[in-house]
Amino acid sequence: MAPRNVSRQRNILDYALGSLWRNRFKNTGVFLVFSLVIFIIASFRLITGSLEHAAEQLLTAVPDITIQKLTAGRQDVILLKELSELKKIFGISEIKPRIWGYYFDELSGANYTVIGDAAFDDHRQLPGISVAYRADDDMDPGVSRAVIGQSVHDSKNLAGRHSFSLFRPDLSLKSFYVTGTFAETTALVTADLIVTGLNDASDLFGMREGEMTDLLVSVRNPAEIETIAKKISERITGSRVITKRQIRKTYRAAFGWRSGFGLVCLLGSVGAFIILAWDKASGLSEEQKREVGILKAVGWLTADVMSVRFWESVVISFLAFSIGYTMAWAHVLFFDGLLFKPILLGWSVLTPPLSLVPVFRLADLMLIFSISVLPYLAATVIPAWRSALVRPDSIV
Amino acid sequence: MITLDSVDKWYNRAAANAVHALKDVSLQVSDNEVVCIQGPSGSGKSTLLSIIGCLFVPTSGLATINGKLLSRLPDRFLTLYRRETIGFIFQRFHLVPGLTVMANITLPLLPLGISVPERQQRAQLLMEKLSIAHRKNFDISNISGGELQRTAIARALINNPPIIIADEPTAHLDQQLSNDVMTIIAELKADGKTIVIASHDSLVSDHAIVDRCLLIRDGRLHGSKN
Amino acid sequence: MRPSTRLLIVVSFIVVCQLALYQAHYRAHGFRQDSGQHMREIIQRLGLSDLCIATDARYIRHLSITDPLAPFMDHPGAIEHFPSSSIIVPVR
Repeated sequence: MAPRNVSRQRNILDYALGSLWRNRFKNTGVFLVFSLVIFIIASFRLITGSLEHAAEQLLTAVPDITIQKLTAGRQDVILLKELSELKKIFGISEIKPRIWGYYFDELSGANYTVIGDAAFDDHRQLPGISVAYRADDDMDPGVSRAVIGQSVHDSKNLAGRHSFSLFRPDLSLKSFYVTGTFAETTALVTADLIVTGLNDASDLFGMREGEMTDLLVSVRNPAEIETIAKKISERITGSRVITKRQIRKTYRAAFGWRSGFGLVCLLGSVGAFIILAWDKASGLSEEQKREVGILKAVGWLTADVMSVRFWESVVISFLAFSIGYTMAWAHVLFFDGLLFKPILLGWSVLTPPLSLVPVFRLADLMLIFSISVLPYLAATVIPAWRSALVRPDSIV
Repeated sequence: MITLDSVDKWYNRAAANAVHALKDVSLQVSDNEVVCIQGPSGSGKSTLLSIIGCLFVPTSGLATINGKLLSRLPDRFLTLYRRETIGFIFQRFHLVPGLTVMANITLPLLPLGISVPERQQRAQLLMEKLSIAHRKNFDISNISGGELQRTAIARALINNPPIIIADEPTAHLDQQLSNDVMTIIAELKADGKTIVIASHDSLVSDHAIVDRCLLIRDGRLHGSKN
Repeated sequence: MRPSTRLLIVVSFIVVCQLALYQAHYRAHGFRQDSGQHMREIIQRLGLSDLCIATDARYIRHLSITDPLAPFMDHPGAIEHFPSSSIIVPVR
């Protein structure tokens, strides 16, 4: 019985494929649009998924606690002397002062992230540098040194040069000697960075001695992070305490109406496509009605005719899904999500090489499947049933 | 044995455009008999054939084939019965455009789950018998009227049904082809089939193989011609 | 050849393409694993909090660490009108 049923379904599948081929112009149009819709949605989801995954993998190393200061609702400097209050809290293993600021280069319109690192002054080698121009020990101690990201290097058109200048707030120039460039493979976190010593950063921004933008706190027992964060906020008035957990939840799913605005627009296109599918499936031509009448007249049951329509829908939707998803994968893997890259970069002048690596997640696949293939099948079920009701005597 | 007993058929009975297509029709067709039903256009020939051919059930009255009561069967069971018992040759052939001769002939076998080799073997035998084997891979839009008719006949015979219903089988054919069709029908009778033909063509009604000719007018049978 | 057999060939071809793509992804992923270690070290050393994606504003560049008021101070609808906000915005 089972082999007979399989043979029956295969016969009907053959007929359905022939039927699709006989109406190939109409069906090709539906197939292409469907593939395109799935390609766009899948690309969107693979890009956001790859960023989520990259963040999950990389941001395991973010500081346990970051402390900033707010005055009148705006970020303000933290004084180094606040450290003494923090050292009283049990459980803290290390506190690092940091200057973290932004430099807007008016000439190019680029925003650089400037980081003043205490260990930089101690000549501790930074990881991930691909090009080092001069051994640190040979440098004149009076010269300001910096390690820059690849996009900064390109934006400054450094080419063969090894130095550049930035303006202090009083419009005097501060020169930096580039002692290294971060490898392009680390661009996902370093592209726009200018890393220099704490003193040089302070000098660049015209900050006073002992002023920092944040303090980075390491905790001995990760389970105590929240507790210690609470204690810090109590001890330092006006402080803004950000924990590792809060940082890491930023890059998750963008599905609220605000955050998923792009996806909401795409869902609109899916909706439009489903309406198209319904319309196409509903509009039985005289020829199609006649064909169903002939099938019924020669002994096909309503269920057999419905099977034909079912297979037609399944073939179109599954093939479109496979091809759309495969092309989306290639789009992200080989072309860095070219379609969505401009949206991601927005009005940025610096264009870091994103090097997105798509991640296969079953949940994403099922989500895309359920918002594309399932509605398509549902939209064609009722028209298929109605078309299968054509009576055999209608041709007599 | 085909038996119709006081069969009535209405279309759109409750509506303003109601049509009383068959009125109190009773007839019997014995096994291996060839019966011709003659009548003008709109007389109810096609409706009568459709009931005998199990395309639909009468509004009232009884229709039985070999003792099986068909007039109250639901569509599904009617179709299943029709599949095994009836081979219908339609007036306008009603072949599926875009399919080949072979594909059209084997159409009734697809939902039965019959394998490709078996389907092709059965179709080949019939095509050779009906002299259309050389056209088996031709699209039906590329064959002649006579070949279309023989393709339609082959399709009707593919399941080896005991009963053949032919609605105006010579309607679109010239004299020579009409004679060919009647020759085929004679062979089917020799094979033991029961055949009911609707035709207003005297070539059919006067043919020697026809055992009886019934007249139908305004939905009523008016006795036999011979 | 039966149409369903042709379909099987087409589907097999698509599956082969997908496997080839996955293989390419696997290699790229492996490559990323190596550079990933460097990136984690940089993050730890410098206390970085965000990936460098969009640099058009400071509160877009550092989504996770910017206070909620920062964009609002510039313009009440600031964060929404950045193009990248249609794909990623901070979770509250």
